[in-house]
Amino acid sequence: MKTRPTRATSLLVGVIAVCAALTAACGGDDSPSGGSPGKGGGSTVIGADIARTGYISAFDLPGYQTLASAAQDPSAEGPELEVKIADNKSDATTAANVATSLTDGGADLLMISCSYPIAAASTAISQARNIVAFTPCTSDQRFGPKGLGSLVYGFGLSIQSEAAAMAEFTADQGWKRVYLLEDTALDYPGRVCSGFKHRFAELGGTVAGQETFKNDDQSITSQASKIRAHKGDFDAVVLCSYPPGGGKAVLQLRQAGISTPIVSHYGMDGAFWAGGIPHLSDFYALSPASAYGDDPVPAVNDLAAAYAKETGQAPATGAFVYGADSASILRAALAKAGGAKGDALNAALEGLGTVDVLSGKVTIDPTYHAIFDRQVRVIRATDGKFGFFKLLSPKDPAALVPYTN
Amino acid sequence: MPRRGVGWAAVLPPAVVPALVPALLVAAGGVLTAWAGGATERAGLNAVIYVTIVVALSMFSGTTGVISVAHVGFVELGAYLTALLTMPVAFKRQVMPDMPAVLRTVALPFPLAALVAMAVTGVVAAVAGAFLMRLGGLQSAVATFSLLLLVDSVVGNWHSVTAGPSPLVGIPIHATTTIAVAVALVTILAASVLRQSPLGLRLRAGRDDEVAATGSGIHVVADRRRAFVLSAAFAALGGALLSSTLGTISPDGFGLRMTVVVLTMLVVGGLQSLAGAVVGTVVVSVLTETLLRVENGTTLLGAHVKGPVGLSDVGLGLAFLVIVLWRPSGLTGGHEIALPFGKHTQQRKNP
Repeated sequence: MKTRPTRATSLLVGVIAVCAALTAACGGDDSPSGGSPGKGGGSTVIGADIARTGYISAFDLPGYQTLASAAQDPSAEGPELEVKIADNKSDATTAANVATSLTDGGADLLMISCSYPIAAASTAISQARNIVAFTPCTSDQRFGPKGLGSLVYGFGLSIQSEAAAMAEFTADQGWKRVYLLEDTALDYPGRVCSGFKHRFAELGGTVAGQETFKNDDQSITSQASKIRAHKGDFDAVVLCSYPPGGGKAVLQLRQAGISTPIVSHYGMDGAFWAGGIPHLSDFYALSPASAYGDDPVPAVNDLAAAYAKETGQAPATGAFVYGADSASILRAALAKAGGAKGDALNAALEGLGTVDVLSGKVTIDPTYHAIFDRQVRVIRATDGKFGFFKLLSPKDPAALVPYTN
Repeated sequence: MPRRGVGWAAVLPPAVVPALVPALLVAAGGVLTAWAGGATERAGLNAVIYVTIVVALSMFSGTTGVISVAHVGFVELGAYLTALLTMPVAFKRQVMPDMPAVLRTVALPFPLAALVAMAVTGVVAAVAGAFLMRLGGLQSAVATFSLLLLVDSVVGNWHSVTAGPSPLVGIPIHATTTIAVAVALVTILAASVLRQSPLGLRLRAGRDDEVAATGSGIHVVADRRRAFVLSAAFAALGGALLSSTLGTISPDGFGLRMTVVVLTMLVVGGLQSLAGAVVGTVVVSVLTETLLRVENGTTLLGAHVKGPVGLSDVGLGLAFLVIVLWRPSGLTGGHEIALPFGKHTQQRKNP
């Protein structure tokens, strides 16, 4: 049989040649931004393995923005910081690749995504390389030694703080009977609701009933009808959810004629989801900072203004303070540790005590690597306008850890 | 059937010959990326695992012509079963106290766990296949999609066993580039043997003309079911590797997103050939990684380049559009690829 090279053979040669060329061409430098000092250089390099695109980018980017600004602040005291960002596309596998790339490129610390599944992939790399990783935007016992690893930290508002603050605020307002509406698409809202129920019961509150829905449900009409049927049995609806499903739930509760106060948590922070509810009133959510220029801490309002100037738009949620707060925590720990080496920095962070940050004072819990004493802002919507309402310091949120697993 | 060549390939069993070039491509890719190290090796490892998954899918869809949307569900099953069976007992007792004792008290070595995962997934595919294989065309796509949703939903909501929507962490890491390449080579060989076996011939006959095949005494439904089970088991093996690469898995990582990626790899390479499955996976993986690096900023041919945010998504979409318009049958056109030197076995479409 006479044989001849086929077009497919030529294709194969082409594929191999292109792949080899691309591998060689890109293989020389895995650093995503390059040209800056890494280990042993003058500044500590933070590799930001976060989402610039995809569903979690709205939560990841504000913290990155203010962390990068704080790193460039020439007046800041303490060790110099430098931030390199690489997009993990809101995808766990990409996040692991990005973590490898950033640490290969000289990152001393890793900033990880707010999303637990994505952060888990990143920390598989950082933990194995003895590198401290932190997420600025949440604070969950599962991120620390009880979950992702001994070198992983959460500097944001803890789930336990959210649960405790929501319960204490509701009880303080005199709303002793509530109806719960819980989003089950992710476990985050359910964990907040679970902690809320425990603390609310301790405060003498009662739960008149509970309904569930999924974030991508187009309608919660049946749940709203059931809640309306109990009208008079509750003083407020407690909503554990996040946008966009949480926004649709609020809209449909109001459309169903349920006019009682709606109390929610950090998952519903921001006004961006409420555009379709023009006269929303009596709605309350929690935040680490007011994004509306009326925070009780003037420095927070200055940062919000600077953020708006730099990015061209006002912060969507209070998450913008997280980056600035993280920079303060890291500078204090790096100064104490004398460098960014994993074990030394870990020990410094665990023994750091209370640190002054932009939004107040915070203490890192050495057991859970979380922050439980962050002050919480209650944000209120009145006639469609959102603004600061109340400052809370929830009591002993760490006690809720067993109820928020 | 492949025709025996007069070159050195003639000494090989005919069933092995179509696997030669895909196997060489995978082995070369593994060596090249491992040599580069760091993030390149990591990307290479992912690509090689995807070779296993895409070749597993081609064992069924390539030989039967029936598109299965369920296979990522089998990957998910394989990943979770392997993870749950290899996690240390003490860790499971601590973080998942409500897990059934049969899982909580067992910690198997990775190879044994992967085999169990393949077997269990095969049983699931056999049961589902008894109903699904009666369908064809759009009905089959919808039915296999429903199976994917079913698996995804069970995994995402069985809190006591899978941790529900939360990621499963603490999974021992076993998958290295060497192991992933070895598994991919075994999968490629198995796919090649299947295609050249009597079962493979019957499957292709059923694919090309189901009425004629049935009239010739071929039990098309039963044969498709066998291929479905086999390909599901190998898809589970790909999942076993995935779970053992990162040390963490979550339902987010599977489902529709991975399904689109896997089907794209198969279609870009060429649905009907083994070489197509491998070439498609390599091309999509290299293109994805390259665009991602350019987007994040890298040194390319000595110059620092940085693309706009979203470049990789837009670039990939455009590239696939061009490829599909340029070669609707995929880059290989449904052909196997012969070695490019010496006298060799020549394989044409539909080996």
